[in-house]
Amino acid sequence: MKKILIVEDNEDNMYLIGFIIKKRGYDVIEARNGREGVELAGKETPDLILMDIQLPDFDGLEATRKIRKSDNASDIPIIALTSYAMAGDRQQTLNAGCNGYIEKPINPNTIMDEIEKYL
Amino acid sequence: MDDDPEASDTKKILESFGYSVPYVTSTVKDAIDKTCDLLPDIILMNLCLEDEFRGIHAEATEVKKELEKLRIPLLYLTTDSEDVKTSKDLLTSSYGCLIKPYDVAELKYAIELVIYKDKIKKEYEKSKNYYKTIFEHTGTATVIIEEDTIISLANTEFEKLSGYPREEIEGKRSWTEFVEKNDLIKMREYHSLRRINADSAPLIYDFQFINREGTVKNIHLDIGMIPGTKKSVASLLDVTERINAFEEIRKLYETERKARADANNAKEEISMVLERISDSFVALDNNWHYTYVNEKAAEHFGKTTEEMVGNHIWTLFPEGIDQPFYKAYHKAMEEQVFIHLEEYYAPYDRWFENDIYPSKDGITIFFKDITERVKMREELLFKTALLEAQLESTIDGILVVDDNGRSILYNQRFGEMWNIPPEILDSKDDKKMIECVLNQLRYPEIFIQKIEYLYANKSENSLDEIEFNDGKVFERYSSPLIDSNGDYGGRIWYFRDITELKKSQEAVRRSENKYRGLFDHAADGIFLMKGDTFIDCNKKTLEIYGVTRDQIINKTPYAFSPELQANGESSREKAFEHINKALAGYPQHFEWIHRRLDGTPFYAEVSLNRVKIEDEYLIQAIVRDVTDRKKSEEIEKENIKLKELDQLKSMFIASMSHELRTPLNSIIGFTGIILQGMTGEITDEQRKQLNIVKNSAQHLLALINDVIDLSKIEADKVELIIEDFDLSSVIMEIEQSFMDAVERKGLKMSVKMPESLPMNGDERRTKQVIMNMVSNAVKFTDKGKLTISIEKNDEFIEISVKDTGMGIKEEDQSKLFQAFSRIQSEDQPLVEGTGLGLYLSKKIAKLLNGDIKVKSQFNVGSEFIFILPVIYTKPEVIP
Repeated sequence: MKKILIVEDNEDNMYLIGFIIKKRGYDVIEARNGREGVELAGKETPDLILMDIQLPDFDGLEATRKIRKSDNASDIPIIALTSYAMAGDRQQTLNAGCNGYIEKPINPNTIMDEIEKYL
Repeated sequence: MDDDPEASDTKKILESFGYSVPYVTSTVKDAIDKTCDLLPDIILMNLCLEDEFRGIHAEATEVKKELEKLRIPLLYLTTDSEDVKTSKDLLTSSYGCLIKPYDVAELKYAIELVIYKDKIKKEYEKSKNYYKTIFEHTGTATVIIEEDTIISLANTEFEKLSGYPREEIEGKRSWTEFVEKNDLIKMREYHSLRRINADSAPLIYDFQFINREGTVKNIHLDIGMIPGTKKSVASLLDVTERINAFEEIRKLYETERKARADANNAKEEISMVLERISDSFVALDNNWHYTYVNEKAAEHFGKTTEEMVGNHIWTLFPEGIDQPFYKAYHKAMEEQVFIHLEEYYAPYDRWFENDIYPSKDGITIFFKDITERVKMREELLFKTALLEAQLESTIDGILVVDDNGRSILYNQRFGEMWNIPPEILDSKDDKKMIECVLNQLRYPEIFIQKIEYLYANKSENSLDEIEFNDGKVFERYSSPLIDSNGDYGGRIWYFRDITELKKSQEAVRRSENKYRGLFDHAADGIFLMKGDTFIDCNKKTLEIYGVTRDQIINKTPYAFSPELQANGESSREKAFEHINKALAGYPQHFEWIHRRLDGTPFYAEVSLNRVKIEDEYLIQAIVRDVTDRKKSEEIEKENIKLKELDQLKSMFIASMSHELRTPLNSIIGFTGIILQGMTGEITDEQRKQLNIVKNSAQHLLALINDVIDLSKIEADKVELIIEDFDLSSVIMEIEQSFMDAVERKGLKMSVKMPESLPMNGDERRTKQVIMNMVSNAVKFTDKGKLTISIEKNDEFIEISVKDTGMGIKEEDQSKLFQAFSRIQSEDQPLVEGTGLGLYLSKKIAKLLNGDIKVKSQFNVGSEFIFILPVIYTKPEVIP
């Protein structure tokens, strides 16, 4: 069973995205902030990471850079969850090391297609 | 005569030089009256007086006439350098012109020069008048002879003797014209001898003089040189009658001897002849008894003829024994020689001239009282020497010409200044002299014109400057010589080398002009204050204060300030404080509210500095009108507020994007999950309602997104992501996403495009625009079809979205691309939307270096065409 790490501070979003992914038959690992996300990425070595960019401690960009520099998690695909208002950030997410991005609010009809491109 | 307030300063300055300044006035009429009363040595007159006699006009009329009568020198003052030229051309009676502002030293120099010139001129005239009077009244024909034998001056007696009027003699005739041919040799000898050594020439000559009528006269000439000059003074004594008389006597004596019988008759005849002689005349026999005394002689001694004849001379005049004449008589008697004697006779305190002729039975003496003549000669010599000394001691080159324009006097300096070789100077040939001078001059024609003008207008004075080719500048002053009878007697020329003065004046003026220029054209108001009074200011000051010069000079700063400053302090007290501090040497910088004469206020930055000008502390103020800056400061403040507001807006939008979308995330996400049946079966009713929730949420999201886009575009914060992409696949995606909606409305959609359309640009933004176009087409079309087609050339791609919808009225088409404009017709239901779609699309199209155009016909359909460059090029940023 493939594992997907979701780094997201908003409980409702975590529940929504986690629900959709679990329904599809993946294991979900939840991280509530960047630090936790980096830790779990190294510890659990998930198959994919969904990374929210706006996080309470250090943001998703920094978390991504840390993961990319880590020993055992540097190759894991990371998809950024970006907000529309932060359109300018999209390029930054790619620069930071993300493989792709999904715009929030997520579309439950299409999100899994997006995710599965990277699995 | 000056209406300028500086006049009182000038008065002070002049008094400090030791001049007395009895009167200052600003009107010409007053000046004329006062001048008559006070008889000053000099008048300073401003050329720009404010009454009916303005400046030069005044000069040309009343003042000139009045002041010329009084013979008082005038010095003009002017502020305009143009006037100097005018004054020199027109104001010929002026002694000069001084340009304001002038240096104190310059003023002093000018005044002293005028007074000096006037003094020299008057002394010369006085001295000339004096000797001319003596000259006229010697009773002997007298002439002044130039070196070249031309008579430059002749008196009335000479006129009588020669038979010519003076005008035909002076400067025109050589005295040798009057000398009988046989005597010319000795007269020429005199001239050549005295050329070698003035003292070597004899002083006494006898020659025959031929007058106008051709009459021959025997002349006893007494000639001598005026020391220090090449001129001679000659007295011509007509001794014709005397010689004739002597001849007569001689003949009579001979006749007497032949016919003693007729002696009585003869005696009578003799006395008849002798009485006709104008000279005094006595005859003595061997025993010193008077044998004959004519009336004139008797009169001379205060006796009658009878009292004298037959008496012994030394019995009658014992006081004459041992006088010079006594000896001469004895010598003539004993040695039988002719003796001419001019001597002082102490008993009478007079000078006498004696011609003693010996005869067998005694001597005959002609005598004449020559006291006047001797006195005249002495006076003349003395006066001339004095004058010469004066001339030589001045720094001016001086040339005196007679009324025929011939030079009669010049000093050494004159020759040096003009570089005239001595032989030309001595020649007195004015043509040669002028010729020698002309080739040195820059403007020889003007030089000549002036001379001609002045000889034609004998009473005019003139002052001008002469420029030389080598850069030298002379001041030329000329004044007529007018004697006490008001007769013109020639002209005196003064030349002063003012090259250095000019140069330094020019340097001063240039630097002054420079500073004046800086001063006048400064961007700030600059003015000088004496205490709290404005005394000078530049043009900008006038502009700032909105005044004329007259309205500001002599006013105080309080006149241009409101009663109170912005902080409530009294303008007067505050200004006074600043001025005093500045005067104490502490430069002041402050802001000040001024008030123009018309009452409008202005803000200024003021700097006060103490400056020392001519031993006096003044305040130099620099005033900068900062009203505009004040305004811009206010605008700046407004701008900062607006920027703060703008930041607030940005923060609000950022917050909105996050905070509003987070709940939408849940709404859209969970309604989607439920609608997909992931959470179990739902009823049709539930599905319908959930779809409404979902659509409303989507609409709200679109609205939020549009607002965010709008704020970004307006803040120029849109970041384009430029990359290569395939337009065909973008359009295919769009086609897919609208498939459902198109089918639901019963429309048909066709796409005409090549399989692949590679281009370069912002894929997401391009898609956003096309989506908006298609979305609009779907929204506003109820039946028919949509056509998406693409045309392409090397540079541009045109994406056309054509519908068969309601169309847009022509009058509404211009409103299409405005923000929040929603075109609505009465018979059409409101279609949902933000009203931002087309506005944003157009903006984005422009950002992508493209455009959107519309073609529409009401109730037929619309076509929106999106034009895009195939390859995006970043516009050049204009900094």
